[in-house]
Amino acid sequence: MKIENTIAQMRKGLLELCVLAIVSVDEMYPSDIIKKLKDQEMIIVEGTLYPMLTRLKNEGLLDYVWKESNSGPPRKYFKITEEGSSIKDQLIKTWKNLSSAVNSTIKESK
Amino acid sequence: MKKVMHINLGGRALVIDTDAYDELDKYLRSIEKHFKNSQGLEDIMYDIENRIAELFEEETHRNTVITMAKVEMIKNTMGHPREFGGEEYTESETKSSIPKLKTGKRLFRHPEDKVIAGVASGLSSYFGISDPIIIRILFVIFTVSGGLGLITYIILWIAVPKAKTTSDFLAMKGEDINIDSIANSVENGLKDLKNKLDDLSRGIKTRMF
Repeated sequence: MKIENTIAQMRKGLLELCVLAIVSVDEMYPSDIIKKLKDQEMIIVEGTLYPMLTRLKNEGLLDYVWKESNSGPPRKYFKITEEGSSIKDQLIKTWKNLSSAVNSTIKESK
Repeated sequence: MKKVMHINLGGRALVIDTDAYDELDKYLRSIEKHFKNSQGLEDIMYDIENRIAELFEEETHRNTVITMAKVEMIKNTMGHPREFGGEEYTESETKSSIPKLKTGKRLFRHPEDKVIAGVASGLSSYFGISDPIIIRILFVIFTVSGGLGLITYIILWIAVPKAKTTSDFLAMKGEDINIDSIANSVENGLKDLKNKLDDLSRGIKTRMF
Protein backbone atom coordinates (compact mmCIF):
# COMPACT_ATOMS: atom_id res chain seq x y z
CA MET A 1 0.00 0.00 0.00
CA LYS A 2 2.83 2.39 0.90
CA ILE A 3 4.76 1.73 -2.30
CA GLU A 4 1.67 2.49 -4.38
CA ASN A 5 1.47 5.84 -2.65
CA THR A 6 5.06 6.65 -3.55
CA ILE A 7 4.55 5.62 -7.15
CA ALA A 8 1.40 7.72 -7.37
CA GLN A 9 3.29 10.74 -6.00
CA MET A 10 6.10 10.29 -8.54
CA ARG A 11 3.62 10.06 -11.37
CA LYS A 12 1.61 13.02 -10.14
CA GLY A 13 4.63 15.28 -10.06
CA LEU A 14 5.44 14.55 -13.67
CA LEU A 15 1.91 14.53 -14.97
CA GLU A 16 1.85 18.30 -15.27
CA LEU A 17 4.91 18.27 -17.50
CA CYS A 18 3.38 15.55 -19.69
CA VAL A 19 0.11 17.45 -20.07
CA LEU A 20 1.97 20.63 -21.05
CA ALA A 21 4.08 18.67 -23.51
CA ILE A 22 1.06 16.98 -25.13
CA VAL A 23 -0.88 20.22 -25.44
CA SER A 24 2.13 22.11 -26.83
CA VAL A 25 2.05 20.02 -30.02
CA ASP A 26 -1.51 20.80 -31.00
CA GLU A 27 -4.87 21.95 -29.68
CA MET A 28 -6.24 19.02 -27.77
CA TYR A 29 -9.58 17.69 -26.61
CA PRO A 30 -9.30 16.38 -23.01
CA SER A 31 -10.43 12.88 -23.98
CA ASP A 32 -7.56 12.71 -26.48
CA ILE A 33 -5.12 13.86 -23.78
CA ILE A 34 -6.47 11.08 -21.56
CA LYS A 35 -5.91 8.54 -24.29
CA LYS A 36 -2.28 9.56 -24.75
CA LEU A 37 -1.63 9.54 -21.00
CA LYS A 38 -3.27 6.14 -20.61
CA ASP A 39 -1.27 4.66 -23.46
CA GLN A 40 1.90 5.71 -21.64
CA GLU A 41 0.52 4.58 -18.28
CA MET A 42 1.04 8.08 -16.94
CA ILE A 43 -2.47 8.25 -15.55
CA ILE A 44 -4.47 5.61 -13.71
CA VAL A 45 -7.77 7.32 -12.97
CA GLU A 46 -9.17 9.85 -15.41
CA GLY A 47 -10.46 12.15 -12.72
CA THR A 48 -6.92 13.40 -12.07
CA LEU A 49 -6.73 15.24 -15.37
CA TYR A 50 -9.69 17.62 -15.15
CA PRO A 51 -8.79 19.48 -11.97
CA MET A 52 -5.27 19.81 -13.35
CA LEU A 53 -6.47 21.30 -16.64
CA THR A 54 -8.60 23.81 -14.76
CA ARG A 55 -5.72 24.74 -12.47
CA LEU A 56 -3.26 25.15 -15.37
CA LYS A 57 -5.84 27.31 -17.13
CA ASN A 58 -6.35 29.47 -14.03
CA GLU A 59 -2.58 29.86 -13.72
CA GLY A 60 -2.43 31.08 -17.30
CA LEU A 61 -0.38 28.18 -18.64
CA LEU A 62 -3.21 26.81 -20.75
CA ASP A 63 -6.15 28.27 -22.57
CA TYR A 64 -9.09 26.72 -24.36
CA VAL A 65 -11.32 27.38 -27.33
CA TRP A 66 -14.79 25.98 -28.02
CA LYS A 67 -15.26 23.91 -31.15
CA GLU A 68 -18.40 22.41 -32.61
CA SER A 69 -18.56 18.65 -32.64
CA ASN A 70 -20.38 16.24 -34.92
CA SER A 71 -21.41 14.05 -32.06
CA GLY A 72 -22.73 15.84 -29.01
CA PRO A 73 -22.28 19.32 -27.53
CA PRO A 74 -19.42 21.75 -28.34
CA ARG A 75 -16.00 20.66 -27.08
CA LYS A 76 -13.28 22.48 -25.20
CA TYR A 77 -9.94 22.31 -26.97
CA PHE A 78 -6.92 23.13 -24.85
CA LYS A 79 -3.79 24.86 -26.09
CA ILE A 80 -0.62 26.07 -24.43
CA THR A 81 0.04 29.76 -23.76
CA GLU A 82 3.36 31.53 -24.14
CA GLU A 83 3.86 31.41 -20.39
CA GLY A 84 2.96 27.72 -20.38
CA SER A 85 5.49 27.12 -23.09
CA SER A 86 8.33 28.67 -21.14
CA ILE A 87 7.29 26.77 -18.00
CA LYS A 88 7.26 23.57 -20.03
CA ASP A 89 10.82 24.23 -21.24
CA GLN A 90 11.99 24.84 -17.67
CA LEU A 91 10.28 21.67 -16.47
CA ILE A 92 11.85 19.62 -19.26
CA LYS A 93 15.27 20.97 -18.33
CA THR A 94 14.69 20.14 -14.67
CA TRP A 95 13.45 16.67 -15.55
CA LYS A 96 16.51 15.92 -17.69
CA ASN A 97 18.86 17.01 -14.91
CA LEU A 98 16.86 15.09 -12.35
CA SER A 99 16.63 11.89 -14.31
CA SER A 100 20.36 11.78 -15.04
CA ALA A 101 21.12 12.58 -11.40
CA VAL A 102 18.74 9.87 -10.19
CA ASN A 103 20.06 7.35 -12.70
CA SER A 104 23.66 7.82 -11.66
CA THR A 105 22.66 7.62 -8.01
CA ILE A 106 20.80 4.38 -8.64
CA LYS A 107 23.76 2.95 -10.54
CA GLU A 108 25.97 3.46 -7.50
CA SER A 109 23.57 1.48 -5.35
CA LYS A 110 23.95 -1.64 -7.50
CA MET B 1 -38.59 -4.46 -13.93
CA LYS B 2 -37.19 -1.04 -13.06
CA LYS B 3 -38.18 2.58 -13.38
CA VAL B 4 -35.94 4.80 -15.50
CA MET B 5 -35.19 8.50 -15.58
CA HIS B 6 -34.28 10.86 -18.37
CA ILE B 7 -31.35 13.06 -17.49
CA ASN B 8 -29.26 15.74 -19.15
CA LEU B 9 -25.62 15.09 -18.38
CA GLY B 10 -23.04 17.32 -20.00
CA GLY B 11 -25.54 18.35 -22.66
CA ARG B 12 -26.45 14.79 -23.58
CA ALA B 13 -29.87 13.23 -23.06
CA LEU B 14 -29.47 9.90 -21.31
CA VAL B 15 -31.77 7.25 -19.91
CA ILE B 16 -30.76 5.81 -16.57
CA ASP B 17 -32.16 3.38 -13.98
CA THR B 18 -33.31 5.19 -10.84
CA ASP B 19 -30.93 3.29 -8.55
CA ALA B 20 -28.06 3.97 -10.96
CA TYR B 21 -29.07 7.63 -10.96
CA ASP B 22 -28.85 7.78 -7.16
CA GLU B 23 -25.39 6.24 -7.24
CA LEU B 24 -24.18 8.60 -9.95
CA ASP B 25 -25.62 11.58 -8.11
CA LYS B 26 -23.83 10.52 -4.94
CA TYR B 27 -20.56 10.17 -6.83
CA LEU B 28 -20.83 13.59 -8.49
CA ARG B 29 -21.67 15.18 -5.15
CA SER B 30 -18.61 13.63 -3.55
CA ILE B 31 -16.45 15.15 -6.30
CA GLU B 32 -18.13 18.50 -5.83
CA LYS B 33 -17.49 18.35 -2.10
CA HIS B 34 -13.83 17.47 -2.67
CA PHE B 35 -13.28 20.57 -4.81
CA LYS B 36 -15.53 22.88 -2.81
CA ASN B 37 -12.67 25.23 -1.98
CA SER B 38 -10.98 25.08 -5.36
CA GLN B 39 -11.02 27.85 -7.85
CA GLY B 40 -12.88 26.79 -10.96
CA LEU B 41 -15.21 24.26 -9.35
CA GLU B 42 -17.73 24.83 -12.12
CA ASP B 43 -15.15 24.16 -14.82
CA ILE B 44 -14.01 20.99 -13.13
CA MET B 45 -17.56 19.70 -12.71
CA TYR B 46 -18.48 20.63 -16.26
CA ASP B 47 -15.49 18.75 -17.68
CA ILE B 48 -16.05 15.71 -15.51
CA GLU B 49 -19.78 15.49 -16.25
CA ASN B 50 -19.03 15.94 -19.89
CA ARG B 51 -16.50 13.13 -19.85
CA ILE B 52 -18.81 10.80 -17.93
CA ALA B 53 -21.60 11.45 -20.44
CA GLU B 54 -19.18 10.75 -23.26
CA LEU B 55 -18.10 7.47 -21.68
CA PHE B 56 -21.74 6.44 -21.20
CA GLU B 57 -22.38 7.17 -24.83
CA GLU B 58 -19.42 5.08 -25.93
CA GLU B 59 -20.51 2.23 -23.70
CA THR B 60 -24.24 2.17 -24.17
CA HIS B 61 -25.54 1.87 -27.67
CA ARG B 62 -28.56 3.85 -28.60
CA ASN B 63 -31.72 3.02 -26.68
CA THR B 64 -29.96 1.09 -23.98
CA VAL B 65 -30.34 2.15 -20.40
CA ILE B 66 -27.52 3.10 -18.03
CA THR B 67 -27.46 0.49 -15.28
CA MET B 68 -25.81 0.34 -11.88
CA ALA B 69 -23.02 -1.78 -13.36
CA LYS B 70 -22.24 0.96 -15.89
CA VAL B 71 -22.13 3.57 -13.14
CA GLU B 72 -19.74 1.39 -11.13
CA MET B 73 -17.58 1.02 -14.22
CA ILE B 74 -17.50 4.80 -14.69
CA LYS B 75 -16.53 5.27 -11.05
CA ASN B 76 -13.58 2.93 -11.59
CA THR B 77 -12.48 4.73 -14.71
CA MET B 78 -12.77 8.20 -13.20
CA GLY B 79 -11.45 7.24 -9.78
CA HIS B 80 -12.19 8.26 -6.21
CA PRO B 81 -12.14 12.02 -5.55
CA ARG B 82 -9.28 11.62 -3.09
CA GLU B 83 -7.11 10.35 -5.96
CA PHE B 84 -7.81 13.44 -8.03
CA GLY B 85 -5.36 15.70 -6.27
CA GLY B 86 -5.97 19.23 -7.48
CA GLU B 87 -5.95 22.37 -5.42
CA GLU B 88 -7.43 20.99 -2.27
CA TYR B 89 -4.56 18.56 -2.04
CA THR B 90 -1.73 21.11 -2.28
CA GLU B 91 -3.55 23.55 -0.02
CA SER B 92 -3.88 21.09 2.81
CA GLU B 93 -0.22 20.12 2.36
CA THR B 94 1.06 23.65 2.81
CA LYS B 95 -1.30 24.31 5.68
CA SER B 96 -0.30 21.26 7.64
CA SER B 97 3.41 21.93 7.25
CA ILE B 98 3.32 25.13 9.31
CA PRO B 99 1.52 24.50 12.60
CA LYS B 100 2.34 20.80 12.68
CA LEU B 101 1.79 20.30 16.38
CA LYS B 102 -1.72 21.70 16.48
CA THR B 103 -3.05 19.99 13.37
CA GLY B 104 -1.05 16.81 13.82
CA LYS B 105 -2.09 15.94 17.32
CA ARG B 106 -5.38 16.08 19.10
CA LEU B 107 -6.69 14.88 22.41
CA PHE B 108 -9.04 11.92 22.16
CA ARG B 109 -10.28 9.24 24.50
CA HIS B 110 -8.71 5.90 23.64
CA PRO B 111 -11.50 3.31 23.31
CA GLU B 112 -9.16 0.36 22.77
CA ASP B 113 -6.97 0.87 25.81
CA LYS B 114 -9.24 1.82 28.62
CA VAL B 115 -10.07 1.07 32.23
CA ILE B 116 -13.07 3.40 32.54
CA ALA B 117 -13.50 5.66 29.52
CA GLY B 118 -10.05 5.86 27.95
CA VAL B 119 -9.26 9.34 29.32
CA ALA B 120 -5.93 8.37 30.87
CA SER B 121 -4.58 6.52 27.86
CA GLY B 122 -5.80 9.33 25.59
CA LEU B 123 -3.91 11.83 27.72
CA SER B 124 -0.78 9.73 27.74
CA SER B 125 -0.77 9.41 23.93
CA TYR B 126 -1.26 13.14 23.71
CA PHE B 127 1.67 13.88 26.00
CA GLY B 128 3.82 11.12 24.55
CA ILE B 129 3.93 9.13 27.78
CA SER B 130 4.50 5.48 26.97
CA ASP B 131 2.45 3.94 29.77
CA PRO B 132 -0.99 5.30 30.70
CA ILE B 133 -0.56 3.81 34.20
CA ILE B 134 1.35 6.97 35.18
CA ILE B 135 -1.67 9.16 34.37
CA ARG B 136 -3.99 6.67 36.05
CA ILE B 137 -1.95 6.77 39.26
CA LEU B 138 -2.03 10.57 39.15
CA PHE B 139 -5.81 10.45 38.82
CA VAL B 140 -6.05 8.09 41.79
CA ILE B 141 -3.74 10.27 43.91
CA PHE B 142 -5.72 13.40 43.10
CA THR B 143 -8.97 11.56 43.78
CA VAL B 144 -7.91 10.30 47.19
CA SER B 145 -6.47 13.66 48.19
CA GLY B 146 -9.59 15.82 47.88
CA GLY B 147 -11.55 14.33 44.97
CA LEU B 148 -10.06 16.62 42.33
CA GLY B 149 -8.94 13.69 40.21
CA LEU B 150 -12.43 12.29 39.98
CA ILE B 151 -13.92 15.65 38.98
CA THR B 152 -11.22 16.23 36.35
CA TYR B 153 -11.77 12.75 35.02
CA ILE B 154 -15.50 13.23 34.66
CA ILE B 155 -15.06 16.61 32.99
CA LEU B 156 -12.57 15.15 30.50
CA TRP B 157 -14.88 12.17 29.94
CA ILE B 158 -17.62 14.58 28.90
CA ALA B 159 -15.47 17.12 27.05
CA VAL B 160 -13.02 14.93 25.16
CA PRO B 161 -14.39 13.00 22.15
CA LYS B 162 -13.77 9.29 21.73
CA ALA B 163 -11.44 8.34 18.86
CA LYS B 164 -13.54 6.59 16.21
CA THR B 165 -12.01 6.83 12.77
CA THR B 166 -8.50 5.94 11.64
CA SER B 167 -7.66 9.61 11.25
CA ASP B 168 -8.80 10.17 14.83
CA PHE B 169 -6.37 7.51 15.98
CA LEU B 170 -3.57 9.02 13.91
CA ALA B 171 -4.33 12.48 15.22
CA MET B 172 -4.44 11.08 18.75
CA LYS B 173 -0.98 9.59 18.41
CA GLY B 174 0.35 12.45 16.28
CA GLU B 175 1.94 11.78 12.93
CA ASP B 176 5.28 13.47 13.35
CA ILE B 177 6.68 12.60 16.71
CA ASN B 178 10.10 13.95 17.57
CA ILE B 179 11.73 15.03 20.80
CA ASP B 180 10.85 18.70 20.28
CA SER B 181 7.19 18.11 19.55
CA ILE B 182 6.83 15.76 22.50
CA ALA B 183 8.56 18.20 24.84
CA ASN B 184 6.43 21.03 23.50
CA SER B 185 3.15 19.21 23.78
CA VAL B 186 3.98 17.94 27.26
CA GLU B 187 4.87 21.45 28.32
CA ASN B 188 1.78 23.03 26.75
CA GLY B 189 -0.45 20.24 27.92
CA LEU B 190 0.84 20.44 31.49
CA LYS B 191 0.41 24.19 31.46
CA ASP B 192 -3.17 23.77 30.23
CA LEU B 193 -3.82 21.08 32.78
CA LYS B 194 -2.38 23.19 35.58
CA ASN B 195 -4.55 26.15 34.58
CA LYS B 196 -7.59 23.93 34.41
CA LEU B 197 -6.83 22.41 37.80
CA ASP B 198 -6.24 25.87 39.32
CA ASP B 199 -9.54 27.11 37.93
CA LEU B 200 -11.28 24.01 39.15
CA SER B 201 -9.85 24.18 42.68
CA ARG B 202 -10.68 27.87 42.87
CA GLY B 203 -14.22 27.05 41.82
CA ILE B 204 -14.53 24.35 44.42
CA LYS B 205 -13.09 26.52 47.15
CA THR B 206 -15.49 29.39 46.47
CA ARG B 207 -18.35 26.96 46.51
CA MET B 208 -17.24 25.29 49.74
CA PHE B 209 -16.37 28.35 51.74
